[in-house]
Amino acid sequence: MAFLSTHARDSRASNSAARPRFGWRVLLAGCLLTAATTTLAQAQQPESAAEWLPDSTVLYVELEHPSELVDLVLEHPLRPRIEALDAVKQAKSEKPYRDIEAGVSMLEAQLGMPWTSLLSSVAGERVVVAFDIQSLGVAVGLQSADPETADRLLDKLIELARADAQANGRPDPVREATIRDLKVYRVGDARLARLGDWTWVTNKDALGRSMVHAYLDGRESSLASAPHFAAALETRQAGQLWAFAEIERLRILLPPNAIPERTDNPGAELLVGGFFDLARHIPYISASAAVETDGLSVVVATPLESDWKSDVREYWWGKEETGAAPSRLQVDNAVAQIEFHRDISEMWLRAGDLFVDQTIDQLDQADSTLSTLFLGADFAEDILGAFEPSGHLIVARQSFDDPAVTPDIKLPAFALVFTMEQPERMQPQLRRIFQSLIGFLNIEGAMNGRPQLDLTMEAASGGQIVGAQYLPPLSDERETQGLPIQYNFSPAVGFAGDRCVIASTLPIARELLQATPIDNADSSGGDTSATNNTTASLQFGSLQGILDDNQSQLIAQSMLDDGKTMDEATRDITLLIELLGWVDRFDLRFSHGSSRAEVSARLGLRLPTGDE
Amino acid sequence: MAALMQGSSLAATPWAPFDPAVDGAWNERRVRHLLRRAAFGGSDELVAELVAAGPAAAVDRLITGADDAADRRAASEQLARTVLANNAPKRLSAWWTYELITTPHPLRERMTLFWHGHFATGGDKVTDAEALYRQNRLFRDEALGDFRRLTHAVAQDPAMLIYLDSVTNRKAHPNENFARELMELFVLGEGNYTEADVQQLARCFTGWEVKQGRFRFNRYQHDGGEKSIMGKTDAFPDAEAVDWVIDQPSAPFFIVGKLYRLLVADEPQPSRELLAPLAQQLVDAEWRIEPVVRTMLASKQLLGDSAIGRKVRSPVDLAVGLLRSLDGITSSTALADDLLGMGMGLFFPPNVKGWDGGRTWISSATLLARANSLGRLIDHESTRFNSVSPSEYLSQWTDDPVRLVTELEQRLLAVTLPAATREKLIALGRGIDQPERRGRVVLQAMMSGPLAQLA
Amino acid sequence: MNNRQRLLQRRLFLQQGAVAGTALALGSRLPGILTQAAAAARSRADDGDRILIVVQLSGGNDGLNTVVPHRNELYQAARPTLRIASADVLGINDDFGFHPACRALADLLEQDSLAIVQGVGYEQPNRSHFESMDIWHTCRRKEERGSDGWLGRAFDRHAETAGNDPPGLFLGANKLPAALVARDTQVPSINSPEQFKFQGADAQLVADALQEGSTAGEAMTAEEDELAAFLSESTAAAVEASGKIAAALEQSDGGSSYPDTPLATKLRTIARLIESGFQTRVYYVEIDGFDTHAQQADAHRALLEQWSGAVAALTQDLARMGRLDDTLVLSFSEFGRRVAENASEGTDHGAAAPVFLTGGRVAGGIHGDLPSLENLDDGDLRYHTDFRRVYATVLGQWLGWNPTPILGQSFEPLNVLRG
Repeated sequence: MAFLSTHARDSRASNSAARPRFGWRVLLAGCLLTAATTTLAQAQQPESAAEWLPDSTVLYVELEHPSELVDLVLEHPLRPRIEALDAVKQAKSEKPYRDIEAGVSMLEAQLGMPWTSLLSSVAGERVVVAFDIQSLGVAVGLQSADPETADRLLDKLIELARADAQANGRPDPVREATIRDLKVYRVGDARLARLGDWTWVTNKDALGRSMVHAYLDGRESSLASAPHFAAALETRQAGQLWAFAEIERLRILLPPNAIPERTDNPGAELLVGGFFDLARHIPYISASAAVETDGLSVVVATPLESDWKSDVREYWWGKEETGAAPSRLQVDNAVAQIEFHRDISEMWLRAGDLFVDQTIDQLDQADSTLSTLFLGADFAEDILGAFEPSGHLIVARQSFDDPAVTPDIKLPAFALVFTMEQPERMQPQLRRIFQSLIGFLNIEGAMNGRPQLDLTMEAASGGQIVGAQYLPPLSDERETQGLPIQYNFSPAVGFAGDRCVIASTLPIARELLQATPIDNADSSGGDTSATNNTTASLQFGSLQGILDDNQSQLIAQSMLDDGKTMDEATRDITLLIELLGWVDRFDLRFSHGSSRAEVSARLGLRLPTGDE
Repeated sequence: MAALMQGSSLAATPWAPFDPAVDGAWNERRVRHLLRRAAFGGSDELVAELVAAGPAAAVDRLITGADDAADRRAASEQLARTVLANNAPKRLSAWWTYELITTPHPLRERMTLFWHGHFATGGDKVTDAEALYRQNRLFRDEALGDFRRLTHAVAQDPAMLIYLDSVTNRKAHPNENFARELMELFVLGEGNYTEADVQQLARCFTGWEVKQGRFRFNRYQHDGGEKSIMGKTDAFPDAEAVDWVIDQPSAPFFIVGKLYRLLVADEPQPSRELLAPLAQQLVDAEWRIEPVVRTMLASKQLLGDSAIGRKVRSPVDLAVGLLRSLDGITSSTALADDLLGMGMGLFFPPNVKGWDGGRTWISSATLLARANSLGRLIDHESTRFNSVSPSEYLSQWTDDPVRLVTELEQRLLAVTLPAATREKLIALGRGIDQPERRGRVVLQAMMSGPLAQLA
Repeated sequence: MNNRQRLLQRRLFLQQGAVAGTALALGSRLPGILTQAAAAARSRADDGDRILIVVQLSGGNDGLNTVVPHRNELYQAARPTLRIASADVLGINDDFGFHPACRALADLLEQDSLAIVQGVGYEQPNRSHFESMDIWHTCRRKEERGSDGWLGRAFDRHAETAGNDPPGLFLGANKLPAALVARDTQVPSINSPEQFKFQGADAQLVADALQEGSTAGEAMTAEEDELAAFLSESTAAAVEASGKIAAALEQSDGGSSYPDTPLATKLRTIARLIESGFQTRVYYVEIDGFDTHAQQADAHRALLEQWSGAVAALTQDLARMGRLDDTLVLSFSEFGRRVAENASEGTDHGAAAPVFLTGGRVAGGIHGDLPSLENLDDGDLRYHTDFRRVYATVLGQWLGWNPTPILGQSFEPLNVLRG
């Protein structure tokens, strides 16, 4: 531009004599300008998928190298084992599946290539699915590494569709049109166009047109330039799959009370109450997923601001930044472990603000009953309030060593671990309450012919365990091999220092009283510097063990509930248990920092070795 | 020898054996009728087998059960033991439903069910599933066995005594409840004893107790004095009073009358003359049930045309009958719940009288329950007819609605549909576009109809 | 005369007790039918299908805090924290007022639709929930008890409703209350009105097929197919009943709004059934939770609100339907609660308590005096009105059934019903 203006000054200086020379300079300038504009136009052609899409896109999902993922699944070592399951065989023999299978075979035959090759040719680079709120249209984009082959294949597919329709006496399903000299197709509701590397399919005219314009002219404001999108992109983690959702715009669509002010389910509130706060405020979500042979990881992240955490939910978030769940404990044969930060006492006391009237009434009634049980102490304030707001829930597989006291149905052991605020005061009170509870259970049990509990007290880990064990039955004239279900339980309460353990069995109480935290317990991935609000883990090896312990029960259930014969049921249950063995563990974590909240999860598989 | 005796004393009565030469053709229709009464319907295979075998052999086969009956019994007991671990009477109901559907010996199950209703004991009061199972096993063991032994065993069965509120029976205040039920419901029937008899009989059972789920005789509470019951004065030690009650002349008529109602017809009530030969046979056989049942099943009275369609199907007859006739299976848990909804909860009789049967099965509530239960059964994901889904099984006929209705009617109904009803069902089938729905809806409509409730 | 008329005639014929053969076939029920046919016919003409709805307040309702003697000094002294102050009660008369949560009942009282019977109980009060409830249900003490209840016995003697509808109905998920257990009659319990409709995706098709299938068929007139005819007629009646109920449940409450509570939902279902012409005469529902040993204030308030709101909504709905004069609602509890409160801001099991009757023909107001708060029976109110007198009133004067054989003895009825 400076070049031109200098020239203009020069030309004004030597106006009269320089006129014929001005002409070719203008021409040169014009050429250069055109060249520059053309280059600019080409530079404006969208590259990343986000640049193709309008800024009113509210949902965006991207999968990189889909063929790799497909290969991973098809060649996965566990595939043959899953396909051997009765339920899967059943599903595969049903009409819908068979129809699809037939359709795919026919296509493969016509195209002369397996469907996996078709996929990699047409969508080898990435697949994108987006939803635009302005046109209410869905757009699916397939980016190919080899545009010519993609072109050729598309033409072939159209040809096949037309031939098939003609053979069956139906009209031509594919209609052609041109938008700005580009050919676009219409098959039913779908509009399809090959634009450069991409094949785009959409269901709305407006959106389709806008994509073509984007291709030819570029977009002024595309999804890529939307601030929330850009911010979300920054939090993208490694992995083939990534999704973005513009929650702010979607929230407007919801009816006024979709996110309820109050719930009617105390359990849900306790578990995920904080998510209600988030749902009300978060502007967007960014989710990444990585699929590998040995597992699947997902991280869902959102921004977070401290005034989004409502006051009534202080019990859930924790005060200020201190709402941390404790570190996981080392427990043998654990099936599930959940560490949490919840001030249950405060939740109960705040019930008036959190729940609907009916639930508040129910809690009042429960309070009345429980206060009776706890000898007049106020349940919410005195009992629940005696513990610090963080704790553990542990479920572990039991080992039954003594056949004389082994029950028929083998349940896991359950336990809660809390920290007491005032151990000297709470310990005797809880002990007394426990004793009364056992006494009450015994009297009620005696009236109903159930076995009796015998109180025991033992010193352990520098503290004390008060427990109760069921007495073995007097008569051994039972039909079943083992004992009734009560023999899974030997309720116990243990205290050591400020640790309090409430457990369903004595062995787990003993173990937990002295259990120590694991280092680097969490393998769920994600941001490890943030505060963990809730962490959970499920160990499939122990879960498999529990199912194994109860095989005959599961088989009987399958026979009665699903009408299977003994052989069918046995085969099915054995297979199911075996399959569980190939899953290692599942970890879940919810954490939040000063500006971010995140849910991360990982499912780990245990792969068969050569000889398995 | 017994058969010879049987034949000679019954020759001139309606209980003489059915003779195809004289009384009517021995064909599929008659065999299906026999199977509806003696079993819970039968598959096409079984029907063919019994047609080929002839009346006497068919009855024989039903009385002894299929060849593998003994092995399967052991397996079914093992399954029961596994189910008992839950100690839930409702799970036991599901177990028994499974047995009813899959048993190789349906007549024995039918008789077990009969005794369960006769000596009614309910899981709503007896919450110990083991006690209920033991009683059920007792009924199965003596299904076609010795009534005297059965009654003695039941009289001291803990589940029974708990259900009848007779866990204690004191000398000072004898519990008349059990004595009354023994005479009224179990052995003699109403009107064949006096109040005085009840009081005296109650004294015989003093000291009979149930402690810790077991029967115990408390001799300190026993009134060993003399009692006058129905014409005999005696101390009636041990359980001799039970024998005395069974020895009463009205007893065989009562039992045989109930068997008549079970196997032959709900109404009209059989006359004393009609029942007399059977009552005599029962006494002659020393209260063994099998000979009487054999006689009834093979008789002209039961197999003849006049008995076809004379009973109202119980919920079990309806649902289990549908399944067994089409070689089917379903979720026993779901079906057990539905049976309860239709008024026949297994292990959950409505009261001490058990199930009266006949017209008492029918009310607005139960008819709706039947229609809805059939719908649920046919549409259930676990239901199979001949190892395939109902839609697939019925697809062999759904192309031709006339054929569909005919084939189903032949297998499942006791009486022929009037032309108008048949036309309506055919029109219903024609009006449904999707073939896989057509079969199911027509089946449900047919089996919910009034005539499908007849056996 | 078409088939249906012929069939109905035949039913009438049976009811008049002819044709011994077919009659006997119906089993032991029939003697009752034979002798009671005349009585039933008479009672129906006199009492015009009167309906009784029993609401059981399980756990032991604190009568003293429901109908509150707020000025009584002994009351105030016995309940320092639980007493309801004079400023808070909804006044009934000078001495008594309602707990503030019973606003809906107070309104009913003003409309002269609520009668309160004070001091109801029985001698040698039993303070165990199960025992006392069994006594209220069976009218017998433990030693003489059989398994049937007062309403069950009534049904066995008097169950003759038209159209195959059951004589009584229990709405609830729990097992049938002992009061409804009968020897010969089956009282169904339903959890939801869904059970009275044809269910499933093809419900309408099946219903239509059954409707036509049961009216078709000339062959059913023959004598030998009487059983088939009975089945046909019953099926038609079932389809009709189902249609009526489905239509009734779909229609709006006609302006009456029921609170969103479990008890109100059950009472609403009953109202819909009554409106649809269901012939059932006795309905039974239950509300639990009154056993307030600790922290009574909030819990009792919530329960009273639920109960009074539900009963009032039902009353309004019945009035709208024009059935208020045919309906009587009896609310009772197995015992009251101790006069003095305990250390946990609650009360323990008591004895005598008030019973509540609502409907179009009740003699409104309080009947009987509050038992003395001074002369107590081991800390509890002494009864002066045997609960069986309430039953005698309901059975004899309301339903038109002789109470003496049902209750075992003769009891003098109360003067709580008009007309």
